[in-house]
Amino acid sequence: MTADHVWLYAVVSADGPPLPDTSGVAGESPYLVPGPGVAAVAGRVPRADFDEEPLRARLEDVAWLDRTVRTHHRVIAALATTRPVLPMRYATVYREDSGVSAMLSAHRDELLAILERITGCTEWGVKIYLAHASSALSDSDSVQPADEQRPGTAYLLRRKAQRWDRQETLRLAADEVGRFHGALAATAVERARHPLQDSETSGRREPMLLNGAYLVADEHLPTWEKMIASFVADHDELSVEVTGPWPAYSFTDLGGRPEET
Amino acid sequence: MPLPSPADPGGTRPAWYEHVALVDLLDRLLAGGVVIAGEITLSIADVDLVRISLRALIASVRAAVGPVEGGRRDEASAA
Repeated sequence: MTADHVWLYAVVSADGPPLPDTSGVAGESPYLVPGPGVAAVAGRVPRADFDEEPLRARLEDVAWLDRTVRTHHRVIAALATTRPVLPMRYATVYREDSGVSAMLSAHRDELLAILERITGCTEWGVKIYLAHASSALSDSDSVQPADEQRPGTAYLLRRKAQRWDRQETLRLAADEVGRFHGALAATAVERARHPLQDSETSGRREPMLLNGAYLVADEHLPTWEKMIASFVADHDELSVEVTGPWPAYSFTDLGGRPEET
Repeated sequence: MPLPSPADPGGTRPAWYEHVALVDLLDRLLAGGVVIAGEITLSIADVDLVRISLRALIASVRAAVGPVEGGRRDEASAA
């Protein structure tokens, strides 16, 4: 056993250009572990920090997590500017290069198949919120019983009416967003839906209606962008955020395409 | 850090193309990517722990800056 462990960032084609000059989660310079047709981009990380026990302890250090999550992504994103990249899940660690080589050999066919599938594509995220929700649909501030002599009944009635509106508006908006997701998906090579984020995570009071990810072929990108621009222009009531281009994080399932949920 | 975009070297994308945020990394790095059990791999419980910690971090940063509301829609209109 060596003093270092091996942190994996990504799997790439074995015959790619030289690695970009980036530093990894332990400040190290990533290197290639060759395999048959595919290679892993890896980093030597100190065993003292990345062995099972210390790694678990590190996970409770939020600043460390924040830094390493971003660094893991930065290495992958830098690679993605120069070649097709299969990102590895955060915190995939081996003890030796030989273990990595064995993994590459064992999964060669699946890895090559996914690499081929994502070549010439990028991932894009589309998040849609119901805009102006706090003024039109709030169930807190705007409805206060304080202005009523007998707050109970009136408050409850107004609240009920408003809730009905809220539900109905949400339902209509969700239908519209669902149709748009279908249209985006039809233009994309693949699509996935991430879980909707709550307000605390999204940082927005408006309810989130879509947290979609789409694998878009480069040649379809102009069409795809026009679809979004036109949807944004037509829907004042919705707030749209697009993120990307991403490496194909959401489309790297071994042994199958992600299913629509 | 803005993601480099081969399709858009001049950086001329409309304002609704945002810069990378931790919350989007959370969706992707911990839920996506090739999953092959390494010799040392986070258990599902570990991953959940990481998610919870990072969500808490995001929420605390949000609380410090205040919630975003409507502003991005206006940026999109102006683009």
